Amino acid sequence: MKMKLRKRTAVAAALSLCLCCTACGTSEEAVPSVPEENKLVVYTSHKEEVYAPIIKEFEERTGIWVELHTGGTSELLEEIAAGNGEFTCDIMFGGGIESYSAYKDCLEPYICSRNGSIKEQYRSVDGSYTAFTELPIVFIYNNKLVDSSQAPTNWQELFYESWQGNIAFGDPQKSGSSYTMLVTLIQVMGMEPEVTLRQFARALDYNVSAGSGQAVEEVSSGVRAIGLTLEETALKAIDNGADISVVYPRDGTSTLPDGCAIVEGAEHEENARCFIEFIVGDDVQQLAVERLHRRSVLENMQETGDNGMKVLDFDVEWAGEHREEILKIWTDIMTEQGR
Amino acid sequence: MCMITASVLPLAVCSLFLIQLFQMKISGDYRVMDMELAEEVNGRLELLFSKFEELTGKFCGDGEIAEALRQSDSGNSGEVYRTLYRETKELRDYAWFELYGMDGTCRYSTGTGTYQRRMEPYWGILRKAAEEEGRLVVLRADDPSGDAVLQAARLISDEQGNAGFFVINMGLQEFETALKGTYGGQDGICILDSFLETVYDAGSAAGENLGEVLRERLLRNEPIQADCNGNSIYMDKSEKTGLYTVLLRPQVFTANTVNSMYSVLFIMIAVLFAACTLLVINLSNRLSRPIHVLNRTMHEVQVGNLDTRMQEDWPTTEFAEMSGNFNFMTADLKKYMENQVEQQKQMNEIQIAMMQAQLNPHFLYNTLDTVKWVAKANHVPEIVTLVSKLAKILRAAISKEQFTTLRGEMELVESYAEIQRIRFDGRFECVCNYDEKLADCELPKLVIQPIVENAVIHGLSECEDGHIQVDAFAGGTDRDSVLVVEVRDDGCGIGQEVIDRLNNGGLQERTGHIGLGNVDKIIRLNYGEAYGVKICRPKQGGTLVTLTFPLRKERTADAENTGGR
Repeated sequence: MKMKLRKRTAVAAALSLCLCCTACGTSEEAVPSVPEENKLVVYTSHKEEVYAPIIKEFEERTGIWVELHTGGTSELLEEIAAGNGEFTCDIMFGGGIESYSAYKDCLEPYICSRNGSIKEQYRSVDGSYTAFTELPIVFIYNNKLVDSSQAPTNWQELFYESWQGNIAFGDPQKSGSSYTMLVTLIQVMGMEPEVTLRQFARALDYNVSAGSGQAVEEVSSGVRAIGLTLEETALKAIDNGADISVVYPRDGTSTLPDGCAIVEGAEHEENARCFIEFIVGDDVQQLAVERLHRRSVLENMQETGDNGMKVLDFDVEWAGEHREEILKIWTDIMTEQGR
Repeated sequence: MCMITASVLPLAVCSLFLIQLFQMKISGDYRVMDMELAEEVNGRLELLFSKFEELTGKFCGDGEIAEALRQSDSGNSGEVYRTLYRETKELRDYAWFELYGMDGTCRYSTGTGTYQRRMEPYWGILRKAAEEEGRLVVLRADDPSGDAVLQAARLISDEQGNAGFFVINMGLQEFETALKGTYGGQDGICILDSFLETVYDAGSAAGENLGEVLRERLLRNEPIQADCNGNSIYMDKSEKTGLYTVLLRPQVFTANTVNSMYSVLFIMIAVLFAACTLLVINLSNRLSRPIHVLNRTMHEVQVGNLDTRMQEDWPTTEFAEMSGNFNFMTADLKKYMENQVEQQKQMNEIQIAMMQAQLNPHFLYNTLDTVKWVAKANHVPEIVTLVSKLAKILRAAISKEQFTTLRGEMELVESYAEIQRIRFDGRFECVCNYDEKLADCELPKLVIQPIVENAVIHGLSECEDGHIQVDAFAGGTDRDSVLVVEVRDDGCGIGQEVIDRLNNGGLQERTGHIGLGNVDKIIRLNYGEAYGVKICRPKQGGTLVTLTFPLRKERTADAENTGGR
């Protein structure tokens, strides 16, 4: 037994020696390494075409390695709040600024150095978020189906008999921008919300598209003549060859601003600040306008689209507070008629 | 079990060592080869980029080109294009080349459909080229609408200042051309930028999404060159371009190969194990079966079956011999036992004979007593003597004791002689001599009397004046181990045939009579063949009967119980 034991020890020793040798055989030349202070963990709800060039340029300019996690806005914010994400998040990038207010407690206040240059309505008061870009709501129409002189120019015209059942509109239950459109409509019409919603539902002939992206597709493919969508989506479609035109409502439109915020207790806070300064910098803002078809939050940035666009003073707080109520009315109307 | 382990373990250990060593050696060799390959791929890219550098060097200082780029109209475009095509002739398979104005608009291009394309001068490659004036900078392309995956740019300037950019674009097609033939069908190759984002991948690397895997490993501080899905990873960095060349090669020793090696090893060990087991079983059969059989046979013998014999045809000589000896021993034992039984039987027969010789003693005593008193009343002293002597003899004869003392036996002889002397009318005389020291010596009862009787009846029957002398003395080599009793008469002498028969042990007396032969037998049975009765005819005539016994004092009661044989 003793002999056996000794043998076993010898075998174990020999095997471990072998393993040791193979492990040592790997040469570590030409392998980069990243010190902890050069890392940044970013959660983003932006699409890849938006975040990819920005992250790449950020890495290139600062030498900071970005670890990226993507997902839906509420999903990511919820994860941050719960603190149970797989990685500790340093910064949240993307999503409407109204969502940030709700998670104020787990965000680190930071007021960027360019706060003064940001358009007044987007300037952060308490620093819980920094606005990145704004996305105006626009009308679109199919160039082949609708003559430019016939195209709707204000919200009132959407209720015309001729457009009934011919309007593409994303489901507000699924699309945040569609909800903003509903609220904007209510605000513009100035009537009881339910009356407005009922009228609008009839104008849609009780049809909604799956999302605001699909609304653009329906218009460009001729399924519907006109539609409501975000400027960014429409311009991108035009860039990709869709034969549609954009109309900025004369009686004004609302914009969806999206933001960015540092997470409380961020491990790489310095880098996160660096990132915020970077995205409100001229270069990124200009790229957002030129390549990403978004509107800059900076006061002086030259826009490519219609600069004369009238922006309504959209009541973000009211929209947030009445969200459930409005959506319930809407769903009731839709199911009532769908029967 | 120990034996089997001892035989299998060295093989297992050696083979494990060999497999490990083999694996190490082969993996090491392949590693060197693969690293060389990765370096070669990298070298090829570096060569390409040094050619690009040389090319851009010609353009970036060219005043005419700079001038052409500054003009908003393309007045001199033919000349610029001629130069562009001429200079890039050899490299157009590997890239397409473009000239951009300072505003980021593409002014001249050897590619298709990229004219008037715009790149942001404040962004990406153009910004970097402007920043690192006079150097060829390399960056992964980030515009998804373009075909390029990698871009290199260099600022064009002259004395009047910056005029534009020379941009080199490489697409997937161009990379494929550049790297053609460097890697095999099973390999994967992957070009990563300095942040480990994939620029180009081909072969098995494309499926693995290698860039993402490596980047994730790096960020999680995991070993970056660890194997990936059964492929070895080799990285090499180009100092010139900052690009990483990653080579993905199938592992020489996949889990499959190693597993099959281990299976072979396992089968070998199993076979060896089986062989060892068989050998051990065989060996133990050869050793333990005979022992088992022997044990069983011994047990048989123990319970008394002396006819049991062991088989003797064992393959092992030692066992065959042992079995032979055992059988011999058992046979011997049996013979001895049979002897013993035979002796006991004879003893019993004699005892029965003795019993038969006895009359009802009480009746005899009473009768004799009556005779004695009648004789006394009638004043016949001879009858009194006769009867009292007879009673003495009778008492000795019918006593339960088998042994008596020399004295007792001698008195018996004297009593008997007295009776016979009256019977034969004093025609003989009997003298008993013995040393008082020997008086307590033990001997079987009624062994001397029959001899004396014999002498009276046969020896002196014809004589008128016979003498019988009984002498007892100590004899033997040391003069005190043997009790010798000699009965001598001077009668007619015994016949030679009787002597012969007695000395041959074949003398049989009539039943119911304890004669010479029986005396001899009693002594021999009691004390062994060394003792007994000897008869001879001395020269001076008559007969000399010599009885020998072991010289023993009267035995104690205890000794009598155990010393029956």
